[in-house]
Amino acid sequence: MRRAGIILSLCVFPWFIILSGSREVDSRSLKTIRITETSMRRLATKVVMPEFPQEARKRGASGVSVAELEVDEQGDVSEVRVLEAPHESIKAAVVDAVRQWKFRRSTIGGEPVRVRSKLTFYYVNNGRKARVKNPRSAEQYGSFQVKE
Amino acid sequence: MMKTSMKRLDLIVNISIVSMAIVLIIALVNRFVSPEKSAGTGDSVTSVKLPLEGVDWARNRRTLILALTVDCSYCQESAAFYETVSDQLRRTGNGQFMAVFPNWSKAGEEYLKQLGISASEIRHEPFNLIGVTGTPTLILVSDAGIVMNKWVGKLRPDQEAEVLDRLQLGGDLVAQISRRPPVEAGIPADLIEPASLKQEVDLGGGLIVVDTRSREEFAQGHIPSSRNIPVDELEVRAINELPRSGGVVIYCDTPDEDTSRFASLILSEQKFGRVLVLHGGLMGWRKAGLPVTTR
Repeated sequence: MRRAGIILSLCVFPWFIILSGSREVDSRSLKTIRITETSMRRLATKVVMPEFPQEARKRGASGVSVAELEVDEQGDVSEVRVLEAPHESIKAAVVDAVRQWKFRRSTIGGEPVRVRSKLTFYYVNNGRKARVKNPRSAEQYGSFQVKE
Repeated sequence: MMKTSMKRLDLIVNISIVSMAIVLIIALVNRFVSPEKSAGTGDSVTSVKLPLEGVDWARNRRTLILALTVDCSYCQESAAFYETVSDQLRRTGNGQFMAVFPNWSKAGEEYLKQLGISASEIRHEPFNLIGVTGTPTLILVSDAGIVMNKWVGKLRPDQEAEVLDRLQLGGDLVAQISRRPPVEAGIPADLIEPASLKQEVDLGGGLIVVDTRSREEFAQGHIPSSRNIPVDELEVRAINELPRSGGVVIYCDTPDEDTSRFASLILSEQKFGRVLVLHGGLMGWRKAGLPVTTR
Protein backbone atom coordinates (compact mmCIF):
# COMPACT_ATOMS: atom_id res chain seq x y z
CA MET A 1 0.00 0.00 0.00
CA ARG A 2 2.74 2.40 1.04
CA ARG A 3 4.82 1.39 -1.98
CA ALA A 4 1.93 2.16 -4.33
CA GLY A 5 1.41 5.52 -2.66
CA ILE A 6 5.06 6.42 -3.14
CA ILE A 7 5.00 5.36 -6.79
CA LEU A 8 1.82 7.34 -7.39
CA SER A 9 3.33 10.44 -5.78
CA LEU A 10 6.49 10.07 -7.82
CA CYS A 11 4.44 9.81 -11.02
CA VAL A 12 1.94 12.59 -10.41
CA PHE A 13 3.84 15.35 -8.63
CA PRO A 14 6.59 15.97 -11.21
CA TRP A 15 3.90 16.37 -13.88
CA PHE A 16 1.90 18.66 -11.64
CA ILE A 17 4.95 20.85 -11.03
CA ILE A 18 5.97 20.88 -14.72
CA LEU A 19 2.47 21.68 -15.98
CA SER A 20 1.69 24.36 -13.40
CA GLY A 21 5.13 25.92 -13.92
CA SER A 22 4.77 26.09 -17.69
CA ARG A 23 1.31 27.60 -17.40
CA GLU A 24 2.71 30.32 -15.16
CA VAL A 25 5.40 31.17 -17.69
CA ASP A 26 2.84 31.21 -20.52
CA SER A 27 0.42 33.57 -18.81
CA ARG A 28 3.26 35.99 -18.07
CA SER A 29 4.37 36.16 -21.69
CA LEU A 30 0.91 36.36 -23.26
CA LYS A 31 0.27 38.93 -25.94
CA THR A 32 -2.86 41.04 -26.06
CA ILE A 33 -4.51 41.44 -29.43
CA ARG A 34 -7.17 44.01 -30.29
CA ILE A 35 -9.99 42.78 -32.53
CA THR A 36 -13.14 44.33 -33.96
CA GLU A 37 -16.49 44.05 -32.21
CA THR A 38 -17.87 41.95 -35.06
CA SER A 39 -15.06 39.45 -34.58
CA MET A 40 -15.42 39.53 -30.80
CA ARG A 41 -19.11 38.74 -30.98
CA ARG A 42 -18.32 35.78 -33.26
CA LEU A 43 -16.05 34.36 -30.56
CA ALA A 44 -18.75 34.59 -27.87
CA THR A 45 -20.09 31.31 -26.50
CA LYS A 46 -22.20 32.83 -23.73
CA VAL A 47 -24.00 36.14 -24.07
CA VAL A 48 -25.78 37.91 -21.21
CA MET A 49 -27.76 41.02 -22.10
CA PRO A 50 -27.44 43.94 -19.66
CA GLU A 51 -30.50 44.95 -17.67
CA PHE A 52 -32.28 48.26 -18.03
CA PRO A 53 -32.07 49.60 -14.44
CA GLN A 54 -35.29 50.92 -12.96
CA GLU A 55 -33.66 54.24 -12.13
CA ALA A 56 -32.55 54.77 -15.73
CA ARG A 57 -36.04 53.80 -17.02
CA LYS A 58 -37.69 56.32 -14.72
CA ARG A 59 -35.37 59.07 -15.88
CA GLY A 60 -36.12 58.24 -19.51
CA ALA A 61 -32.50 57.36 -20.28
CA SER A 62 -31.86 56.08 -23.78
CA GLY A 63 -28.90 55.86 -26.11
CA VAL A 64 -25.75 53.91 -26.73
CA SER A 65 -23.50 52.19 -24.22
CA VAL A 66 -20.02 51.06 -25.20
CA ALA A 67 -17.89 48.80 -23.04
CA GLU A 68 -14.25 47.92 -23.52
CA LEU A 69 -13.30 44.44 -22.37
CA GLU A 70 -10.33 42.14 -22.13
CA VAL A 71 -10.70 38.38 -22.40
CA ASP A 72 -8.05 36.13 -20.93
CA GLU A 73 -6.50 33.02 -22.47
CA GLN A 74 -9.28 30.86 -20.98
CA GLY A 75 -12.01 32.86 -22.72
CA ASP A 76 -13.15 34.58 -19.52
CA VAL A 77 -13.68 38.32 -19.23
CA SER A 78 -10.87 39.67 -17.09
CA GLU A 79 -11.55 43.38 -17.38
CA VAL A 80 -14.54 45.56 -18.31
CA ARG A 81 -14.72 49.34 -18.53
CA VAL A 82 -17.75 51.28 -19.71
CA LEU A 83 -16.68 54.11 -22.00
CA GLU A 84 -20.09 55.59 -22.61
CA ALA A 85 -23.57 55.14 -21.17
CA PRO A 86 -26.76 57.23 -21.15
CA HIS A 87 -27.09 56.91 -17.35
CA GLU A 88 -24.73 56.12 -14.49
CA SER A 89 -26.78 53.09 -13.36
CA ILE A 90 -26.47 51.62 -16.87
CA LYS A 91 -22.70 51.47 -16.48
CA ALA A 92 -23.02 49.03 -13.57
CA ALA A 93 -25.61 46.96 -15.45
CA VAL A 94 -23.33 46.65 -18.49
CA VAL A 95 -20.33 45.66 -16.37
CA ASP A 96 -22.42 43.01 -14.55
CA ALA A 97 -23.63 41.51 -17.81
CA VAL A 98 -20.37 41.60 -19.78
CA ARG A 99 -18.47 39.96 -16.91
CA GLN A 100 -20.66 36.89 -17.47
CA TRP A 101 -19.87 36.59 -21.19
CA LYS A 102 -17.70 33.65 -22.27
CA PHE A 103 -15.59 33.43 -25.40
CA ARG A 104 -13.71 30.81 -27.37
CA ARG A 105 -10.04 30.68 -26.52
CA SER A 106 -7.91 32.57 -29.01
CA THR A 107 -4.50 31.69 -30.31
CA ILE A 108 -1.99 33.05 -32.80
CA GLY A 109 0.40 30.51 -34.23
CA GLY A 110 -0.75 28.06 -31.57
CA GLU A 111 0.11 30.47 -28.75
CA PRO A 112 -2.74 31.61 -26.48
CA VAL A 113 -3.42 35.33 -26.53
CA ARG A 114 -5.54 37.78 -24.58
CA VAL A 115 -8.08 39.67 -26.63
CA ARG A 116 -9.31 43.26 -26.25
CA SER A 117 -12.36 44.66 -27.96
CA LYS A 118 -15.48 46.70 -27.47
CA LEU A 119 -19.16 45.79 -27.12
CA THR A 120 -22.01 48.10 -28.01
CA PHE A 121 -25.55 48.04 -26.57
CA TYR A 122 -28.51 50.25 -27.39
CA TYR A 123 -30.85 51.35 -24.63
CA VAL A 124 -34.21 52.08 -26.22
CA ASN A 125 -36.80 53.86 -24.09
CA ASN A 126 -39.92 55.37 -25.61
CA GLY A 127 -41.66 56.03 -22.30
CA ARG A 128 -43.96 53.00 -22.46
CA LYS A 129 -41.47 50.32 -23.33
CA ALA A 130 -37.81 50.14 -22.36
CA ARG A 131 -35.42 47.52 -23.68
CA VAL A 132 -31.77 46.79 -24.43
CA LYS A 133 -30.73 45.77 -27.95
CA ASN A 134 -27.62 44.43 -29.57
CA PRO A 135 -26.46 46.45 -32.60
CA ARG A 136 -27.67 45.38 -36.02
CA SER A 137 -24.93 43.53 -37.83
CA ALA A 138 -22.88 45.42 -40.38
CA GLU A 139 -22.07 42.23 -42.27
CA GLN A 140 -25.24 42.32 -44.33
CA TYR A 141 -23.88 45.49 -45.89
CA GLY A 142 -20.66 43.81 -46.94
CA SER A 143 -18.31 45.66 -44.63
CA PHE A 144 -15.09 43.88 -43.69
CA GLN A 145 -15.39 40.69 -45.63
CA VAL A 146 -13.36 38.60 -43.20
CA LYS A 147 -12.76 34.92 -43.80
CA GLU A 148 -13.71 32.26 -41.30
CA MET B 1 -7.09 -8.88 0.64
CA MET B 2 -4.01 -6.70 1.06
CA LYS B 3 -2.46 -8.31 -1.98
CA THR B 4 -5.53 -7.66 -4.11
CA SER B 5 -5.58 -3.97 -3.14
CA MET B 6 -1.89 -3.69 -3.94
CA LYS B 7 -2.47 -5.25 -7.35
CA ARG B 8 -5.33 -2.87 -8.05
CA LEU B 9 -3.24 0.12 -7.03
CA ASP B 10 -0.38 -1.06 -9.19
CA LEU B 11 -2.79 -1.37 -12.10
CA ILE B 12 -4.12 2.16 -11.51
CA VAL B 13 -0.58 3.53 -11.34
CA ASN B 14 0.33 1.75 -14.58
CA ILE B 15 -2.77 3.07 -16.33
CA SER B 16 -1.97 6.60 -15.09
CA ILE B 17 1.58 6.38 -16.42
CA VAL B 18 0.43 5.08 -19.80
CA SER B 19 -2.31 7.75 -20.12
CA MET B 20 0.11 10.51 -19.18
CA ALA B 21 2.54 9.23 -21.76
CA ILE B 22 -0.23 9.21 -24.40
CA VAL B 23 -1.28 12.78 -23.49
CA LEU B 24 2.33 13.90 -23.69
CA ILE B 25 2.86 12.26 -27.09
CA ILE B 26 -0.35 13.82 -28.46
CA ALA B 27 0.73 17.23 -27.16
CA LEU B 28 4.16 16.89 -28.74
CA VAL B 29 2.71 15.69 -32.05
CA ASN B 30 0.26 18.60 -32.11
CA ARG B 31 3.02 21.07 -31.39
CA PHE B 32 5.72 19.91 -33.74
CA VAL B 33 4.24 17.63 -36.38
CA SER B 34 0.88 19.25 -37.11
CA PRO B 35 0.03 18.87 -40.79
CA GLU B 36 0.59 21.87 -43.00
CA LYS B 37 -2.47 23.43 -44.60
CA SER B 38 -2.31 23.09 -48.33
CA ALA B 39 -2.09 26.37 -50.16
CA GLY B 40 -4.75 26.95 -52.76
CA THR B 41 -3.61 26.89 -56.36
CA GLY B 42 -5.02 30.33 -56.86
CA ASP B 43 -2.49 31.77 -54.40
CA SER B 44 0.31 32.23 -56.88
CA VAL B 45 0.56 35.64 -58.43
CA THR B 46 3.50 34.65 -60.62
CA SER B 47 5.47 31.53 -61.33
CA VAL B 48 8.74 33.40 -61.79
CA LYS B 49 11.55 32.62 -59.40
CA LEU B 50 12.66 35.65 -57.44
CA PRO B 51 16.14 36.59 -58.74
CA LEU B 52 17.86 37.07 -55.40
CA GLU B 53 21.33 35.60 -55.39
CA GLY B 54 22.64 33.51 -52.54
CA VAL B 55 19.27 32.83 -50.91
CA ASP B 56 18.57 29.21 -50.06
CA TRP B 57 14.79 29.33 -50.31
CA ALA B 58 14.49 25.63 -49.52
CA ARG B 59 15.84 26.17 -46.01
CA ASN B 60 12.48 27.67 -45.04
CA ARG B 61 8.96 26.65 -45.90
CA ARG B 62 8.10 30.30 -46.46
CA THR B 63 10.05 33.52 -46.72
CA LEU B 64 8.33 36.82 -46.10
CA ILE B 65 10.19 39.73 -47.64
CA LEU B 66 9.54 43.26 -46.44
CA ALA B 67 10.73 45.88 -48.92
CA LEU B 68 11.05 49.21 -47.20
CA THR B 69 12.96 52.46 -47.02
CA VAL B 70 14.04 54.38 -43.96
CA ASP B 71 11.97 57.42 -44.86
CA CYS B 72 8.72 55.56 -45.53
CA SER B 73 6.10 56.77 -43.06
CA TYR B 74 3.69 53.93 -43.82
CA CYS B 75 6.44 51.43 -42.99
CA GLN B 76 6.73 53.05 -39.59
CA GLU B 77 2.98 53.03 -39.07
CA SER B 78 2.82 49.31 -39.87
CA ALA B 79 5.79 48.48 -37.64
CA ALA B 80 3.65 46.84 -34.96
CA PHE B 81 2.26 44.35 -37.47
CA TYR B 82 5.71 43.55 -38.95
CA GLU B 83 7.01 43.08 -35.43
CA THR B 84 4.24 40.56 -34.67
CA VAL B 85 4.83 38.66 -37.91
CA SER B 86 8.63 38.52 -37.58
CA ASP B 87 8.32 37.49 -33.95
CA GLN B 88 5.78 34.74 -34.71
CA LEU B 89 7.82 33.41 -37.64
CA ARG B 90 10.86 33.16 -35.42
CA ARG B 91 8.94 31.47 -32.60
CA THR B 92 6.96 29.00 -34.70
CA GLY B 93 9.64 28.24 -37.28
CA ASN B 94 7.00 28.62 -40.02
CA GLY B 95 9.36 30.68 -42.13
CA GLN B 96 11.90 33.45 -42.21
CA PHE B 97 11.47 37.19 -42.30
CA MET B 98 13.75 39.11 -44.66
CA ALA B 99 14.05 42.88 -44.97
CA VAL B 100 15.16 44.45 -48.24
CA PHE B 101 16.35 48.03 -48.63
CA PRO B 102 17.02 49.62 -52.04
CA ASN B 103 20.48 50.94 -51.19
CA TRP B 104 23.24 49.87 -48.87
CA SER B 105 23.15 51.86 -45.66
CA LYS B 106 23.82 51.09 -42.03
CA ALA B 107 20.79 53.18 -41.24
CA GLY B 108 18.59 50.33 -42.48
CA GLU B 109 19.66 47.98 -39.73
CA GLU B 110 19.31 50.65 -37.10
CA TYR B 111 15.90 51.57 -38.47
CA LEU B 112 14.66 47.97 -38.13
CA LYS B 113 15.99 47.80 -34.57
CA GLN B 114 14.25 51.04 -33.76
CA LEU B 115 10.96 49.64 -35.11
CA GLY B 116 11.43 46.41 -33.12
CA ILE B 117 11.47 44.22 -36.24
CA SER B 118 13.76 41.22 -36.06
CA ALA B 119 14.71 40.18 -39.59
CA SER B 120 16.70 36.98 -40.04
CA GLU B 121 18.36 38.59 -43.04
CA ILE B 122 18.76 42.18 -44.25
CA ARG B 123 19.60 42.70 -47.91
CA HIS B 124 20.21 45.65 -50.16
CA GLU B 125 18.75 45.08 -53.63
CA PRO B 126 17.39 47.29 -56.40
CA PHE B 127 13.62 47.24 -55.97
CA ASN B 128 12.95 46.70 -59.68
CA LEU B 129 14.85 43.41 -59.40
CA ILE B 130 12.17 42.02 -57.08
CA GLY B 131 9.25 43.83 -58.68
CA VAL B 132 8.69 46.38 -55.92
CA THR B 133 6.93 49.54 -57.05
CA GLY B 134 6.19 51.17 -53.71
CA THR B 135 6.92 50.81 -50.02
CA PRO B 136 6.14 49.03 -47.90
CA THR B 137 5.70 45.86 -49.94
CA LEU B 138 5.38 42.38 -48.47
CA ILE B 139 6.31 39.45 -50.72
CA LEU B 140 5.57 35.88 -49.75
CA VAL B 141 7.99 33.44 -51.35
CA SER B 142 7.70 29.65 -51.43
CA ASP B 143 10.49 27.21 -50.63
CA ALA B 144 11.18 27.09 -54.39
CA GLY B 145 11.76 30.84 -54.55
CA ILE B 146 8.44 31.48 -56.32
CA VAL B 147 6.43 34.58 -55.42
CA MET B 148 3.11 33.41 -53.96
CA ASN B 149 1.60 36.71 -52.83
CA LYS B 150 2.40 40.35 -52.83
CA TRP B 151 0.85 43.10 -50.70
CA VAL B 152 1.68 46.72 -51.49
CA GLY B 153 1.20 49.65 -49.12
CA LYS B 154 -0.23 49.84 -45.68
CA LEU B 155 -2.44 46.86 -45.01
CA ARG B 156 -6.03 46.85 -43.89
CA PRO B 157 -6.88 44.49 -40.98
CA ASP B 158 -8.34 41.90 -43.36
CA GLN B 159 -5.15 42.02 -45.45
CA GLU B 160 -3.04 41.62 -42.30
CA ALA B 161 -5.16 38.59 -41.48
CA GLU B 162 -4.54 37.28 -44.98
CA VAL B 163 -0.77 37.59 -44.46
CA LEU B 164 -1.01 35.68 -41.19
CA ASP B 165 -3.20 33.09 -42.86
CA ARG B 166 -0.70 32.51 -45.67
CA LEU B 167 2.07 32.12 -43.12
CA GLN B 168 -0.11 29.78 -41.07
CA LEU B 169 0.26 32.01 -38.04
CA GLY B 170 -3.38 32.87 -37.62
CA GLY B 171 -4.97 30.12 -35.57
CA ASP B 172 -8.39 31.11 -34.32
CA LEU B 173 -7.64 34.76 -34.87
CA VAL B 174 -6.61 34.51 -38.46
CA ALA B 175 -9.24 36.86 -39.82
CA GLN B 176 -9.73 38.95 -36.78
CA ILE B 177 -6.58 40.91 -36.18
CA SER B 178 -6.91 44.63 -35.83
CA ARG B 179 -4.18 45.80 -33.53
CA ARG B 180 -4.81 49.49 -34.00
CA PRO B 181 -7.56 51.69 -35.37
CA PRO B 182 -7.52 50.77 -39.04
CA VAL B 183 -6.07 53.46 -41.25
CA GLU B 184 -5.18 53.11 -44.90
CA ALA B 185 -3.26 55.62 -46.90
CA GLY B 186 -4.36 57.11 -50.15
CA ILE B 187 -7.99 56.01 -50.16
CA PRO B 188 -9.86 58.23 -52.59
CA ALA B 189 -12.62 60.26 -50.98
CA ASP B 190 -14.89 63.17 -51.79
CA LEU B 191 -13.61 66.18 -49.89
CA ILE B 192 -15.53 69.13 -48.52
CA GLU B 193 -13.84 72.41 -47.62
CA PRO B 194 -14.36 73.75 -44.08
CA ALA B 195 -16.14 76.89 -45.27
CA SER B 196 -18.56 74.85 -47.43
CA LEU B 197 -19.30 72.54 -44.53
CA LYS B 198 -20.04 75.49 -42.25
CA GLN B 199 -22.37 76.90 -44.88
CA GLU B 200 -24.20 73.58 -45.38
CA VAL B 201 -24.60 73.03 -41.64
CA ASP B 202 -25.88 76.57 -41.17
CA LEU B 203 -28.42 76.02 -43.94
CA GLY B 204 -29.65 72.92 -42.08
CA GLY B 205 -29.37 70.62 -45.06
CA GLY B 206 -29.43 67.48 -42.92
CA LEU B 207 -25.71 66.79 -43.10
CA ILE B 208 -24.47 64.69 -40.16
CA VAL B 209 -20.95 65.57 -39.03
CA VAL B 210 -19.00 62.73 -37.39
CA ASP B 211 -15.80 63.14 -35.38
CA THR B 212 -13.83 59.87 -35.61
CA ARG B 213 -11.27 60.73 -32.93
CA SER B 214 -11.23 59.29 -29.42
CA ARG B 215 -13.72 60.38 -26.74
CA GLU B 216 -10.93 62.19 -24.89
CA GLU B 217 -9.93 64.19 -27.97
CA PHE B 218 -13.56 64.97 -28.74
CA ALA B 219 -14.07 66.30 -25.21
CA GLN B 220 -11.16 68.70 -25.64
CA GLY B 221 -12.81 70.45 -28.59
CA HIS B 222 -14.87 69.56 -31.64
CA ILE B 223 -16.91 71.07 -34.44
CA PRO B 224 -20.25 72.35 -33.09
CA SER B 225 -23.15 69.93 -33.74
CA SER B 226 -20.76 67.08 -34.61
CA ARG B 227 -21.13 63.71 -32.96
CA ASN B 228 -18.37 61.44 -31.80
CA ILE B 229 -18.04 57.89 -33.11
CA PRO B 230 -14.41 56.70 -32.70
CA VAL B 231 -13.17 55.10 -35.91
CA ASP B 232 -12.84 51.62 -34.38
CA GLU B 233 -16.54 51.73 -33.40
CA LEU B 234 -17.79 53.02 -36.73
CA GLU B 235 -18.13 49.59 -38.36
CA VAL B 236 -20.77 48.58 -35.81
CA ARG B 237 -22.33 51.90 -34.86
CA ALA B 238 -22.71 53.61 -38.24
CA ILE B 239 -25.63 51.56 -39.55
CA ASN B 240 -27.32 51.73 -36.15
CA GLU B 241 -26.95 55.45 -35.58
CA LEU B 242 -26.49 57.32 -38.85
CA PRO B 243 -29.06 57.85 -41.60
CA ARG B 244 -27.91 56.27 -44.86
CA SER B 245 -29.43 59.04 -46.92
CA GLY B 246 -28.88 62.74 -46.38
CA GLY B 247 -25.11 62.81 -46.23
CA VAL B 248 -22.37 62.26 -43.68
CA VAL B 249 -19.23 64.37 -43.24
CA ILE B 250 -16.34 62.72 -41.44
CA TYR B 251 -13.38 64.42 -39.85
CA CYS B 252 -10.28 63.46 -37.89
CA ASP B 253 -6.93 65.03 -37.11
CA THR B 254 -4.56 62.64 -38.86
CA PRO B 255 -2.33 63.88 -41.71
CA ASP B 256 -3.93 63.74 -45.16
CA GLU B 257 -7.25 62.79 -43.51
CA ASP B 258 -6.13 59.14 -43.41
CA THR B 259 -8.53 58.10 -40.64
CA SER B 260 -11.46 59.90 -42.24
CA ARG B 261 -10.70 58.37 -45.62
CA PHE B 262 -10.72 54.92 -44.05
CA ALA B 263 -13.96 55.77 -42.24
CA SER B 264 -15.50 56.89 -45.54
CA LEU B 265 -14.58 53.49 -47.00
CA ILE B 266 -16.45 51.75 -44.17
CA LEU B 267 -19.53 53.90 -44.75
CA SER B 268 -19.41 53.41 -48.51
CA GLU B 269 -19.22 49.64 -48.04
CA GLN B 270 -22.28 49.91 -45.81
CA LYS B 271 -24.12 51.64 -48.67
CA PHE B 272 -24.21 55.13 -47.22
CA GLY B 273 -25.21 57.49 -50.01
CA ARG B 274 -23.26 60.73 -49.69
CA VAL B 275 -20.03 60.44 -47.70
CA LEU B 276 -17.67 63.41 -47.52
CA VAL B 277 -14.34 63.91 -45.81
CA LEU B 278 -13.52 67.29 -44.27
CA HIS B 279 -10.46 68.59 -46.12
CA GLY B 280 -7.65 69.20 -43.63
CA GLY B 281 -9.66 67.70 -40.77
CA LEU B 282 -10.11 69.60 -37.53
CA MET B 283 -6.87 71.48 -38.13
CA GLY B 284 -8.18 72.74 -41.46
CA TRP B 285 -11.40 73.81 -39.74
CA ARG B 286 -9.46 75.73 -37.10
CA LYS B 287 -7.16 77.28 -39.71
CA ALA B 288 -10.21 78.58 -41.53
CA GLY B 289 -11.06 80.48 -38.34
CA LEU B 290 -14.16 78.41 -37.66
CA PRO B 291 -15.34 77.74 -34.11
CA VAL B 292 -14.87 74.61 -31.97
CA THR B 293 -16.72 73.75 -28.82
CA THR B 294 -16.21 71.51 -25.79
CA ARG B 295 -19.95 71.07 -25.16
